[in-house]
Amino acid sequence: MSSPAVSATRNVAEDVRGLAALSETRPARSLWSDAWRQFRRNKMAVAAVIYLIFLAFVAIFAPVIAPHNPVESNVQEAGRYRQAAWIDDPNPKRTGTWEYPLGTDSIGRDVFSRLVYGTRISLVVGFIPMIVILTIGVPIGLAAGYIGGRVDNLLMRITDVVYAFPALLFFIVMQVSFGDTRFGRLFNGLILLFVTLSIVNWTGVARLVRGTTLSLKEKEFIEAARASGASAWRIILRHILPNALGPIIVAAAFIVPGAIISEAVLTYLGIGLRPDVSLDAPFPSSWGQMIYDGKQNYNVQPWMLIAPSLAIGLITLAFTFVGDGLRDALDPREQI
Amino acid sequence: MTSYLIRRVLWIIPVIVTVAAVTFFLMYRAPGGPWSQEKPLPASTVRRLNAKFGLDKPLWVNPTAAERAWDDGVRNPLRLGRAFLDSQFFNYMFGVFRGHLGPSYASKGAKNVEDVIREKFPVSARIGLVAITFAVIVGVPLGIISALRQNTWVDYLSLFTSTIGISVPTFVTGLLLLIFLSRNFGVSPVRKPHEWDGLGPAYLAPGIILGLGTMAFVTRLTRTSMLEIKRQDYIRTARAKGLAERPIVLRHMLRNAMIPVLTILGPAAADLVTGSIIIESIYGAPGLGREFVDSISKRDYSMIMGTAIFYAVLIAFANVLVDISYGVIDPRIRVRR
Amino acid sequence: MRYRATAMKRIGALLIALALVMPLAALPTRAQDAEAKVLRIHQPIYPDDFDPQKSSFTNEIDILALAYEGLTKLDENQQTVPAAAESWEYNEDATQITFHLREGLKWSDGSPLTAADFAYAIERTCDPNTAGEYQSLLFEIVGCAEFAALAGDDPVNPAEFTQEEWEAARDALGVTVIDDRTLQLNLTNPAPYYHTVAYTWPFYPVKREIVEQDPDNWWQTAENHIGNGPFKIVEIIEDQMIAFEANDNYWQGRPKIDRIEYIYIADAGVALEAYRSGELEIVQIEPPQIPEVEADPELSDEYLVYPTGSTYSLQFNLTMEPWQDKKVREAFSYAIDRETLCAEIRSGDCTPTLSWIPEGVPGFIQTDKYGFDPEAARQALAESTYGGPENLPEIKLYYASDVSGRQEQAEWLAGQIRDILGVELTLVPTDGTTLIDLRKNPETFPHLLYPSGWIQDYPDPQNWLSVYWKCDATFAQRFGYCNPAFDELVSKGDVTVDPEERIGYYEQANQILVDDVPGPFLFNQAAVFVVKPYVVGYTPNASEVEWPGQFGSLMTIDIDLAQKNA
Repeated sequence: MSSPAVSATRNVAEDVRGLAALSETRPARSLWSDAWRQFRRNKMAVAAVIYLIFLAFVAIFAPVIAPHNPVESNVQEAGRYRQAAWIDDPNPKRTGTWEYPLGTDSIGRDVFSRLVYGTRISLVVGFIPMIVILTIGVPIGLAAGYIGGRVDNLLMRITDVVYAFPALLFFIVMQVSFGDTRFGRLFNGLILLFVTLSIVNWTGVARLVRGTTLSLKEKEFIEAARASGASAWRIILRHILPNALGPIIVAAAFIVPGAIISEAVLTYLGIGLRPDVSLDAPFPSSWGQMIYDGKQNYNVQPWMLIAPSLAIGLITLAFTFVGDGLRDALDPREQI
Repeated sequence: MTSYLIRRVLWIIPVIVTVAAVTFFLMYRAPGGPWSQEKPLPASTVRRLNAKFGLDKPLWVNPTAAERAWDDGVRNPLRLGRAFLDSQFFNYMFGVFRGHLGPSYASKGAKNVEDVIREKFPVSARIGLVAITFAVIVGVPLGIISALRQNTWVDYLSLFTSTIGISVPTFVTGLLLLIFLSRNFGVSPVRKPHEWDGLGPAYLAPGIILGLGTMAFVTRLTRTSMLEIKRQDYIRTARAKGLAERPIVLRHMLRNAMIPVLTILGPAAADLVTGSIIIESIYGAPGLGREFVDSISKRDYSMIMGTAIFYAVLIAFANVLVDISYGVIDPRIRVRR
Repeated sequence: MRYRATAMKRIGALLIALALVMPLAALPTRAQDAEAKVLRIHQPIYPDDFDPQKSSFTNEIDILALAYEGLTKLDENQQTVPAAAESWEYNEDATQITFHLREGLKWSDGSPLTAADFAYAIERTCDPNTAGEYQSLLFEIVGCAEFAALAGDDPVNPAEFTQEEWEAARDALGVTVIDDRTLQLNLTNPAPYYHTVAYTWPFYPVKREIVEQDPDNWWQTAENHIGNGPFKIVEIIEDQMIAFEANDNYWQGRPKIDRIEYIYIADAGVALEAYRSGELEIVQIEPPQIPEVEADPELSDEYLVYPTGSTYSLQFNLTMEPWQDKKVREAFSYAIDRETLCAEIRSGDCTPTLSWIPEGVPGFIQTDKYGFDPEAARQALAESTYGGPENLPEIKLYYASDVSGRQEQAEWLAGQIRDILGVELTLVPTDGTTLIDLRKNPETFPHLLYPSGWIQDYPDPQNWLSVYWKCDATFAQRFGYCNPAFDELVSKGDVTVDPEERIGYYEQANQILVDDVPGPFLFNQAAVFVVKPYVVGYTPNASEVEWPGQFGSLMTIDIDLAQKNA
């Protein structure tokens, strides 16, 4: 998303776009510094980056921020299903107190503290599937779309196969095969979960990139670049990829919340994560799990559902804004 | 074009075989078999049922049978080969190419997989149809408007809705919508069985909930593509020539912006019509999605295989359609060869 | 289903949805039957089959129990009372039982029902071609086990058997039709509890001419269900509904209810909403929903909880370290606060127990041995060969992750063990089918399993002890429990005819179980429902896990139309 100021400059930029694409004389250095300048002008993108930094801060300092231990269930003292701070209830154990801002959950753990700790997992795992999916999907899509012919056919048939096999079965098998290995236990099994998720999910990105590449490669400026003797690599990297960034970034921004939600859905289906009960567990809770818990209690404690949903929504918005900012900043046509 | 089509359709065969083999492999890697039940069965019962379903044969190939045939004096290579492939997997595949997906294990052989699919798929397909229609007729215009009115309230509203669309799981939205309709408008939370026959109003709520995520994605994708195209030379040229805004948008921009949207719509459509366990179980729809997940948790081998193969065929055809429509939308794109 | 697609496809925007769906809202109407007495009951899971001789799950049996009836039945107090048989007697050493059928028994289509029809039910259950899941329940009938075993023991190639062999085995069954109203069963051992077994579903008569036309699938068609129960099946819509109507030909006359509908709704939230909007009379409540129900002024009045005949434990795999050490087992038993588990964590859907046999079933003993005591727990662990928490091997706690609320319970349990014993358990969430498979033998049986338990087939200590805990019992073998002293007592109890002496043996055996701590007994599961106040005339009992009154109150349950329509 660009601010109005950027849009105003765009007309000028676009007038010289054709030249910029053809001449290929700009040194690489200015691409990045221009990009950075461009990015900084986009207020929403900057705000989003600040928000993500804030989340990183929350994640790192969770033990300091969280008022309670997120795994300790304090049924005797705090009671189960204590209401949020602003709720009055005749039962003293159910009356809200700011000691437990969002109340306690079904086994008496502080919801707010779990939300704070959940930031860790959401940040870490939000990136992993995104990176894996993009690193598999984008090259395959580019290769299939640009080279075409047999390569395209083969790669796309492989994606058909991957897309079609039953993912649920794959999850169960992966859980059973690797669940007990050191790798499977990493971050309570989250890494395994998200690697599995990435393996079955790259096909969408690959097809998306291929489709865009197919349409781009017939465009005049690509033909011009080809005519001027640019190598295939150069055309792909300098011309096709930057122009295909838009759809890629939309998909990438959707992967993060998608991965978090998938975890909740997998929990709904009974192949969720392995919870950690040690008091100093680094990754004791996740927003996906909290959404699932929250659904079961939405009538009595709606905030248990709203709080993690809001958290996921905000992180999605942040990634969307950063993505839009990045795309505008990296757009070759923006360079002057 | 015709030869391209034929080639693409023929390619579906290896895709099916691979999907079947991978699924078969995964299935047997997952612990538990179709007879894993809470109450123990007498061992003899288990054996008999196993035998009934041919589970006594080897999984992939059967060299013993081939050897025995050789010793019995069989020299016909076709018959020897058939004996060698007298295994669970190949017997199954031979059946598939003759159009038989086999009896369902969970029904203890009472029902055929193809009958179950024939019975349940229409329900899922109708929900998916509503979903994909909803995603397109809401998502595309919303994306266009937010691209044309970039950074206005319309744009922000569309961003807001698609963010919610992606951030809240269907088991939450589905239930909340159902409760909302029940409490405020007296729409019964329970559908009468006959309401699922034919495309009726019963399909609206589940279809829309199922389509929300795709709608969000389509909105964002359309918007991004439109913004991209907006900056292209030919649009600028068209504007400079003094063409009216509407034809520019409709004739030039939209057509080009549709490529990425189209790409995701193909698989998404196949995906949506094969059903969603969550939507189907919340709305009580007797669809294939529930059946499929059930079959996995029951390790109903033939049902898993049959549904996976059916799904693979759908996906493959959807992608053929998408590839053809690229050429229709932008004649310069050539996917043939 | 493609849940992988959650990333892009499965997620919804509520606000838009609401805005868009408003116009459609004035859609279907709610049917109001002002006159007919219809009982609409929520069922969460559609059954795999409901064929009397093949079924084994509670959601299958609750269908059959409406349309069929055994020789005896359980009344509202779980006592075995006459049903199709008006009386029965054992021979002296209880190796033979003779049932006397009522006069004028009829099938639901009006044709006469005779002793031969019951004999056919037994024959069909034992038949190797039927492969009934509950065959073993009848293995005490002479010849039944042999008949069933005709198919042989070779796992790969089941033995072929000839028609002659089959007929010979069938004729060797210890089932004698003396006349139309007298049926005699010869038993392999003294079994003074067998009249209670005769209430179970394999004894439900089915019409031979219907079943033999299509032995595997006949039960899928409503018209084929010609039974002898108080109701008859009139409509079957797979995954959605099964409807029953009163059977005028039932020996006790017509029940008070005209029609019963089982409505299949998988999502508990939806079912509760349907109940709220008046479309269901009885709904099963899942533990996570209990706080919501309790907080609702209306629902809390209609909330019904009663104990069922089931006991759950935290099961050790006794073949593995450190469970061979009894002190460790004691420590774990002491460390669990069962009161809090039931009252708080499970929201009151269970009652704590330290006895294996539940209260109300003969053989139950009152005990507080190894109950919650943190101090004793730490001490027991210190006295164990491990000397304390630090030397214990890693302990893995398995639980079924696809059961609602199970994960929270496991987390809480692990928290207890951590806080009291200082032992950090590793939690292993496992999908249901995998878990069932793991439980099949001691090598793979979960290291520590929550919960593991038993739902009674019939309320007799024989079913609770001999079937589950004897050295040669399938279940005990899976987790490696074997105590010869226990076996001796139970074997004596099984063949003793004198009721008092017999119960005495079982009580002693139950005490041995308590002393051995094979897995700390935790609780008896409760059945939890909401029932509309206009449903009257039922007394729930411990066997009725699917809905209150499903066995014992079929003739008395009623709908107060005045109250309903008020």
